[in-house]
Amino acid sequence: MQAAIEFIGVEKRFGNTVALQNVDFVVNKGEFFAMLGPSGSGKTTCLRLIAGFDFPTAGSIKLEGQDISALPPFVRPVNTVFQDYALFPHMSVLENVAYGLMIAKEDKTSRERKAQELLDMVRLGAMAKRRPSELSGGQRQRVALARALAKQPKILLLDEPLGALDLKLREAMQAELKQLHKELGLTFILVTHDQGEALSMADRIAVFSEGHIEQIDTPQQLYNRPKTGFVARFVGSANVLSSSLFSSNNNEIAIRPEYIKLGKKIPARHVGIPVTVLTTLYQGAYTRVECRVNDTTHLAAHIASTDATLSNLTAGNALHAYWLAEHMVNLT
Amino acid sequence: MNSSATINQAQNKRVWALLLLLFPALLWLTILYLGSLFGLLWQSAYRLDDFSGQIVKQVGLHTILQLFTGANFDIVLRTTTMAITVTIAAAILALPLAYTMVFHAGKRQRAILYVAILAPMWFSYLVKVYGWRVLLSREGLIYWVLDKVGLAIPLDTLLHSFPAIGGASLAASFLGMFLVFLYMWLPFMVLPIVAALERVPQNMLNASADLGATPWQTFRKVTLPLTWPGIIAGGIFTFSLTLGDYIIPQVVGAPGYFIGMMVYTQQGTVGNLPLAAAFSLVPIILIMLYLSMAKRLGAFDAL
Repeated sequence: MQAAIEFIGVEKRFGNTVALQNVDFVVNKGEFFAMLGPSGSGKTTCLRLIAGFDFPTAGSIKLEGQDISALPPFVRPVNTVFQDYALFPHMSVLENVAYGLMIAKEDKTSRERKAQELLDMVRLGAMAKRRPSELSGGQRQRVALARALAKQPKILLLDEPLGALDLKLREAMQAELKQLHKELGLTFILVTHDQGEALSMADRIAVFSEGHIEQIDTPQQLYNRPKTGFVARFVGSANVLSSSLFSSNNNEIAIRPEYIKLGKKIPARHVGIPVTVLTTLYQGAYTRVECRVNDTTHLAAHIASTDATLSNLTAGNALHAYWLAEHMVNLT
Repeated sequence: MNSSATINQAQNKRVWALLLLLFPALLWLTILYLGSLFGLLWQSAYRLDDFSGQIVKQVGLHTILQLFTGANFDIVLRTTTMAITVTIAAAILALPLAYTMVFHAGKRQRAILYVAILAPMWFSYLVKVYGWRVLLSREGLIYWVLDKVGLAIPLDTLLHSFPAIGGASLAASFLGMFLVFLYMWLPFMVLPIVAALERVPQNMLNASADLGATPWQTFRKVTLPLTWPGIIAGGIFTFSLTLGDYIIPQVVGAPGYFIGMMVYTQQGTVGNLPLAAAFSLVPIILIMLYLSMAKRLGAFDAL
């Protein structure tokens, strides 16, 4: 598979602050790639380096094999959907979408026809003559998307594109973006701090922490086989425990709360530890049971709310938490 | 007492409190400001009896129409041309300066530029005007420098061959007056443009570059249109300050009245208050024209 973007030993410093160090990864052509991490983890810096708003202090970035590290943004065949949309307030919606084509000196009829088609595609055909200020947040988001697609970029960059939308709209847009990606066959690179967004849309996810990549994997692998404690905790909910609690080894393991069961005894073929129930938190489909293992370790179990054993649980109960060994992941 | 009466009472109290708070401002705006302005303009409906020198309190267009006669209309044209030229020149000078301050200067450089622009405003207006007269005079620094580089004679030739801008020397020419106006009002143009440029989001510029625009294209298609309201605001200052000034045309420049001087002379020495009022109407109308033209040209589209 051909590489759309390749980071080779990329480093970015702002004065004395290191924003990125030794970042290596490859985004395949046609892939939906997500860069996930908390704020300040370097994911947005990576996106800005691809767009050309910042330049790496070391290493190189290749686009389809060509080194673009030093190219200014206006010559890169890459377009961005900005977090705050960055629509031009003094232009109509149509002019906004046609902007890139106008700069490329495409004639007026042709560029306006193309812009209109894109607006029709994002179901805003009727809004072409309006100003961005007359649109809702969700509509502006779709205009920004149409504008970024107008020049048929090799890569579409999405910087927290759904961050400013409310929950319902966000879920609808997730499905729409994924559908759009499938139809266009373009390379999408999404920056987000929302693990749900990354898990539901991306083919592969790079998890960023403090300027480096912790793990790159498919959503399923990332969730089921996290390699580090950071990934286990950041992607979904996880209990990170020392294996010395239940075996003679001493390394860190992660176990998802939904794999943990509670009972008086540890059944055969299971691994378990004694715990004391602290609180139960009803969450609808499941109930989160917070337990104390020892002074420094707590553990959470998600028990299906239909489970009969729940009704007998009260704070202070001394029980065993147990799980199948195959559900637990060794961390490095 | 029932509850709706209590609510009414509470509302009344709030209205009274509001009126009390607004009273000084409203008094100032309506009576002292608008009232006296209309009082003044109303004077222009009266006329001066040429024989008795008394003001005839008869409402009519006689005085207003005087504005359009020979010498008076020349004054209006002269002043307006100067105001337009100064405004355009100030905008052309201020834009690159403001752009540098906002997008290129570091924190320190920016502070220095701010002080450099504001400092002249801390000194006496009259000192600056007379200072310029000395600078522009034949014995002044500018001629001395031009003489050293051999440009004094070409300048004089220029001043003599174009009476519209020329005169006996720089200090006695419209060109000289223009330079003084430009110097005096430039800060009033720079500051609103700086404010407007500061409000252009960095992401907007990134978006433009992202869509293929070179920095110059971004400036023309995005930065400049978003800065128009600031340029127009600065223009209101430079335009109206030039229209109303009566000191600079007296001290520097070729002979010939300006609107401000005319208002000053007519209401004082001559005692023709109606004509003074008629002249003071001109800047108001011109500013209104200026704003409506700016609006039509789309200067406020980005607001």
